This record gives sequence, structure tokens and C-alpha cells, in this order.
Amino acid sequence: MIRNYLIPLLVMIFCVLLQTTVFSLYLSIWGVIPDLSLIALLYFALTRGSSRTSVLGWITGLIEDCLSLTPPGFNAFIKASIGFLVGLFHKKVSVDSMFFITILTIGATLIKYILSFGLNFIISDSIPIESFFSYRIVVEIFYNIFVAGAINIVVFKIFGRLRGDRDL
Amino acid sequence: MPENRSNTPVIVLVILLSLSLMLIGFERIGVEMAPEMLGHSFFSRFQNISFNLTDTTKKEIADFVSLLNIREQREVLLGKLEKYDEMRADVDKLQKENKELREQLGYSEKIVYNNIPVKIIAKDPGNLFNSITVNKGSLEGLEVGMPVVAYQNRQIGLVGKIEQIGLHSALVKPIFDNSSYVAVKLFLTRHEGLIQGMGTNDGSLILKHVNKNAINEISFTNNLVVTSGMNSMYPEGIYIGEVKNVKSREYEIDLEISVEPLLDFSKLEYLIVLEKRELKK
Repeated sequence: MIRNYLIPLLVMIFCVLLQTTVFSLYLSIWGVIPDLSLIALLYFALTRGSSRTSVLGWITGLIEDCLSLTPPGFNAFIKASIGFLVGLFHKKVSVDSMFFITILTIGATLIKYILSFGLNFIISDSIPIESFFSYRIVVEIFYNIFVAGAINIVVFKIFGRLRGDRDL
Repeated sequence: MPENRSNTPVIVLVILLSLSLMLIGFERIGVEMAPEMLGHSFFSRFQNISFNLTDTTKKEIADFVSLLNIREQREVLLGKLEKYDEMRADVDKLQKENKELREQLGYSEKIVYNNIPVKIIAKDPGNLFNSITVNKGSLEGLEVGMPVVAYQNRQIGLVGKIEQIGLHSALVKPIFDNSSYVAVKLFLTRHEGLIQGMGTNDGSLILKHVNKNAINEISFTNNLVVTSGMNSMYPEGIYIGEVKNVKSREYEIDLEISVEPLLDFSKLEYLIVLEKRELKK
């Protein structure tokens, strides 16, 4: 329970706090911040599978909804779906492979925007269509890849070698 | 939760997605979401801690860098100058801080409305929505709908309004958010219109509903856009921006005017919340 839910949830909350404070105030690129909780969700999905990660993603999304002007349930829907979809690759893809993490990061970011686009109709077009075709999506994808790569190097290449353990 | 039963993940997902859609639905029909407000109050405390830690770290790093510089100078100069250099760095820092605080305080005192100065502690977790979290909430006297302004480069500009409130924090919806509308008028020509945000962080704004006949009267130099105070929660006469471009389309009866905001939203640190229509005693 603690290993499967509590620790990942604390990590996700830490990511959301970093996202909203450190990154949004000091480390944004052209006003764009990386989705740290999405990247962490990818790693947890690959190591824990669909059910656990969709629950984890849903709770994280709900926390993001509390800290944002998005309607409650908006980010929860997106993060639960992504957690489920990426969780399907559990035990099929190596979690420390930079190549797969890059592909999954691109895919997950695009899915996030596609789902946002879909949910936008439910929330009465609160987001203008232009936002889905702006440079910000491209910047976010590259920023996410960079952060996911950095996490990969730190967690698996450095920390993993020190511990001799590749499980998160 | 066992993963070996193939249907379990799908059932879990369906339940979670249904819950999400229900929550979105509740919000759309205007049901007050108390858990969301409680959640905001709870997690914004951690945002405050995170912000303070980051801010302290940033200052420590700045101090460390300045200390390194001072050390270099100390090696070059005689030991006699060592103390003086350290003192000067401290004095500069204090003077800068003092100047910023004086400006904030000076403006805060100049405002004719009762006001509450606040500090930005966080921003929206995503890139599609725009919100600013500030360090004061209902217990400090903030209310939903209160107008928020800022002082930058010796000018006062409109930032937005309080959209959600927690106990010790509040979410501000900035005027550049695409769901934000403000009743405004052109300062020189007095034409009225409605400012809408474009949802981008550069703060681009569009002024709509200005009659086409106004095109010959609108000049591009020093033509400021200010709040009109008409049917609005914003007091009259707060600066918003300057006319940048005017578009007149044949098939439309109104002009579409691009407005460049007065404030650089990415550089804001402190904001001032105005108490609605309450003049200072």
C-alpha cells in the first residue's frame, strides 16, 4: 500500500508543487512549464501498471484542479486516462530506456492536449481553439523530453548504479 | 489491487472517468464545490512553504554568488577593504529591498480604495489555463470578485480579479485569461468596449464591441485603454494597456482592436487587491 500508493502520491504532490512554484515562477521557457506530474506518472505507469496508475493519476489530477482555474475533474480525467494508457506498456517496455521514455513523453503530452481539446467541448469552449495549435505545445513537448531525460539519467544511471536497483 | 484480472484496470478507469465527468458536470451547472475550496486551502499551504523555500534558496544562492565575488575582490584588494565590500553588498541588497517595499507601500497608500497587498506564491500547473495564486485568503479579508491591480514602472495596471478563495490563499484570474472580460473605454476618444484575454502568457488582449465609426478617431499614439466601471466589478479609470492595432472587417459591424497590456505579467511579484467600491476613510 505504502510502496504502491503513498510514496508515488507524495512524489506526484511534490511534482505539482514544483510545477506551480519553482518552474512557473523561475524556470518557465517563453511562459511554458514542463508537466512534471505527467512525466512522473509515466515512470509509475511503467513500473506499476494501469489500475494503480490510473488511480494515482486521477488523484494527482484532482489536486491540480484544486490549484488551478480548471473545472474540478478536468485534469483528473486526463491524468487517469494517460496513467491507464501508459500502464498498458507495463513489463513490455524497459523503464530505463531513454528511447521509449522519449516516445512515451511525446505521446503522453499529445494525448493530454487531445483530451483537453475533447473536454473543452464539455466545458463550453473555455479554451480557445488557437491554444491547441500554438508554439506552446511544441515547447512543452521539448521541455518534457528534456526533464524526462534528466530524471532518467539521475534515477537510473546515477542513483540506480549507486543502489544497484532499477525499480523506482 | 490485483493486476492479473484483465478487466480490473478497465473497470477502474471507467469509474474514475465517470467520476471526473460528474465533477465537471456539477461545476458546469453551478454546484459549489466545497471539497475543491478545501483542497485549494490545504494544498496552497504547501505551495506557500515551497515558495518560501525556493525564495530563501534563491536569496542564499544570490548571497553565495555575491560572496564569491567579494572574495575575489578581497584577494585582489587589501584586507582592509574586506569588511567594506561585504557591508556594501548587504547595503545594496537592503536598499533594493527597501526601495521595492517603499514603492509597494507608497502606491498602496496612494490608492483611494481600501486595499490589501499580496504576494504571488504560485501559478497554474498547466499551460492551457492561467491562474495566479497569492498568499492571502478569506481570513485576511479577501473575497471572490475583488479586483486586483499591480504597480510596475511607476504605473498602476489592472491584473484581474479573485476567482477562487481559500483560507490563506486565493486564485486570481488574470485579464489575459481567455474567459476574462472587462468593460473598458478608450481614454482619449471615450469609446467603450469589452476587453477579452487571448490566453497567452504575453498578456495579449483584444478590445471588442467598439463601433466601426470610431476608426477615424482612434489614434495609435498614447491611446490608453482604461476600465469604464460600467456594469463591472472593476473601479473606473484603472489602466489596462495601449492600442496596438486596429482591424476593420467588411462583414463585421465592430472593430477588433489589439491592445498591448501596460503590465509585464511575467515579472509581477506583488499585487494589490482592492476592496470593492470601498473608499478609504
